[in-house]
Amino acid sequence: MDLGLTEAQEMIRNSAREYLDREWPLARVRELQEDEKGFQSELWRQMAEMGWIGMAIPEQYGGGGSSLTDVGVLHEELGRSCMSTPLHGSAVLCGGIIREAGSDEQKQNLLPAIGSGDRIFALAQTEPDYGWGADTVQLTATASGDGFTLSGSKLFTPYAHVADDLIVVARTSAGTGSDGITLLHVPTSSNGVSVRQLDGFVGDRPCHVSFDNVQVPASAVLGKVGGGWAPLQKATDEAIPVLCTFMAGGLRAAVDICIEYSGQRIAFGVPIATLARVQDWIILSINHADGARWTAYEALWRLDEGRSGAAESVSIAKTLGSQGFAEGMDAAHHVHGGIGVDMKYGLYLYLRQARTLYNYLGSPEFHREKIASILEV
Amino acid sequence: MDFDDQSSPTLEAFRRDVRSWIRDHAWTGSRADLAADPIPSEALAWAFDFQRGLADRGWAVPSWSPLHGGGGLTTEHDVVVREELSAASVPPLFDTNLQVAAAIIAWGDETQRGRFPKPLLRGDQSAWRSTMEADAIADPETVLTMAERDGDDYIITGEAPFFGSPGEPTHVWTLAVTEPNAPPHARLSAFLIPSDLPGVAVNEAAAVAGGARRDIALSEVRVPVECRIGEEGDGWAVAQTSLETEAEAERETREQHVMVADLVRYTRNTLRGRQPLFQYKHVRRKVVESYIDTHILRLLSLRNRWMRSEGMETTYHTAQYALMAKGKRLTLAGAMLETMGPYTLLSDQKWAPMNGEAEAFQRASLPGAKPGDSIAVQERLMGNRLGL
Repeated sequence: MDLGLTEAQEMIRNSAREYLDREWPLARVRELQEDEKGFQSELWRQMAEMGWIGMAIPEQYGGGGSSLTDVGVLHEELGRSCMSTPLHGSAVLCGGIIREAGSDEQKQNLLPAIGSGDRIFALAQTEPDYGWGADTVQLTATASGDGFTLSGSKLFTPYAHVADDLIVVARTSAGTGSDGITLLHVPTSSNGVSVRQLDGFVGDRPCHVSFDNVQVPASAVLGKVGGGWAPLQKATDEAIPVLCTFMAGGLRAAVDICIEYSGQRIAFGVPIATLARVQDWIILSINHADGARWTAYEALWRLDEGRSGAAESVSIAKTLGSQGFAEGMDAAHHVHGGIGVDMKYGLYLYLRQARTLYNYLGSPEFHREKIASILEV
Repeated sequence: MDFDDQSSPTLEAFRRDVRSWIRDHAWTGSRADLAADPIPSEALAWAFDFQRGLADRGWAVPSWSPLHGGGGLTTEHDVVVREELSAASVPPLFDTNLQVAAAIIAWGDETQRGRFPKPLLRGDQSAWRSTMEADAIADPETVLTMAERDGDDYIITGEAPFFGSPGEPTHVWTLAVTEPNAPPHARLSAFLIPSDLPGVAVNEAAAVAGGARRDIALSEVRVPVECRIGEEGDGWAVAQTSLETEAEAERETREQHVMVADLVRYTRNTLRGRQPLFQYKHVRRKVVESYIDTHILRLLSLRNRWMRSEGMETTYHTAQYALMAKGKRLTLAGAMLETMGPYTLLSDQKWAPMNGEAEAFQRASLPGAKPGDSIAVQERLMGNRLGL
């Protein structure tokens, strides 16, 4: 047993924290996130130069070949700074899908460009009938010539508005189960693809992606026609605990903000940190943060080491990550009262992120049901 | 990172020795006898023999120095002993002694450290704790027991419910106000008072759970200054040491782990209507939530053990683990009530599920069933450790 970070992981954490603290104080993160695009090319370039984007890409495709735990350490720091970017969706999730499903040629063509940040990918999976199970995939790719024609829409696709490419999850044969689901690589510049950002109190820039008779060549199929669900699930299972470290880092940062604020805010002649009710909210938040952190790292360890029980650990991590981040942020706002909703103060960024990620890659209810299925046998 | 907590061959050999010794010396009568108050004489004699045997091997707290009655081993050995005792259903009858001994080792002078911990670990002495000690963590001004200095003695007066090991107390562990005009956290001192001093009255008391209790009244008891543990005004900090215990949380974790496994089996195998309970959505949800809770507890236990093995200072971590273990016990008891229905409350020979284990779990899941260290106390301890 050794729950500490390796020397290399300490370096990843320290250098990321040093950069983010120096360059991206919360006020600047807020400016970025309230910007029309919510994305900055200069930041993206710097992230590529620091090797962050390529970390999850295998070395043979020009990436860093880092372990999932390494990538999790970086994401914990990104979460701490509430730094929302397309990194997770593009490099970890879509990079993982291509690695699992793509042909050698597709990997050679796509993975180096993802790792260098030259191309941004987004996963277009969820639809108006929102959900993460196979039954919710209804977009049809109809056979046409030597390829397919896509018509329909995807909803809640993060950062599609800045993406160069999409991985579209579509049905190539009728049904509701996991059979017949195919993964298609579709550039956003393709004729008939249109992307519109969704407004609201929501982070990660979810988009509505419309497909109007989009022609997709057979060469764009990732993996086997009708056999896309398994590689998609494998890559998703690996991406989930990385996302959970982001959530744990975000909540831990919010806890630190609470501790500092409650020590300074005076009410009834004493710092509010001395009031039992305020302490209870802070304790609730830190308990959620620690639960989310350790379950995320345990899942990453199981995946990295090829240990049994990984699927269960992934679902436990996401259940606690989603639930903990959301409930912990509610408690953080209880501690702060009115100042907490002041945009300049910035706490709302964490709350918004918590609510955004609650359902992303599966809600707690969705993952509890997955665990129940495992317990059933 | 490496979450693999498999033991080393040396530790496994130790485990085999402990298991074998426990098997050879385990109580063979009814488990209810060990929870009774007063405990039947035969069970009482066994409890003392067993504890002495354990302590004489250095296994009462293996990681403590032999000078204090320990075995000079590691905290991993502590965990092994606790796991084996739990697996053999040996209740923690002498835990109060262990907690008091831990506080004496941390705060006592050399004479006190040499004099008390070893007999407490063997059960030769029995230190009972006041329930007000826990309340004092949240609010030191709740302590009403007064200690007035008179030369080399204190004159102590006060009354409270106490709890402790089987049999009767040889000592009373209490906080008392020594400096009434000092700030709240500096007005208390801790005392270990022989119960045979004039003015100490021990009276019967009863509780639905949590073992033996007594109402103990101290009426102008003349207590030598040597009975004070720590300096004057240290009482609040001493109480934190005696209440921060990992052992209780680890026991909770194991009990809950076993109970959740039983709950999964029960809900899969018990029909309601035409289908197993587990097929109902609300049941699945409750069972899975309980399952996840035990997973968190296991990881927190692992984290704390790892921190100790690395020589890292645990700050809020011990209280957090204890707090979550206690909180999740209540949640699990609620989940059992929700999923199993009123059957979970039965010890009836015909109708009780899980051979009555579910009822025993419910009974011991009352807030305050483990005296002196309720959820609220662990919250205050955690808040203190976070510097709030």
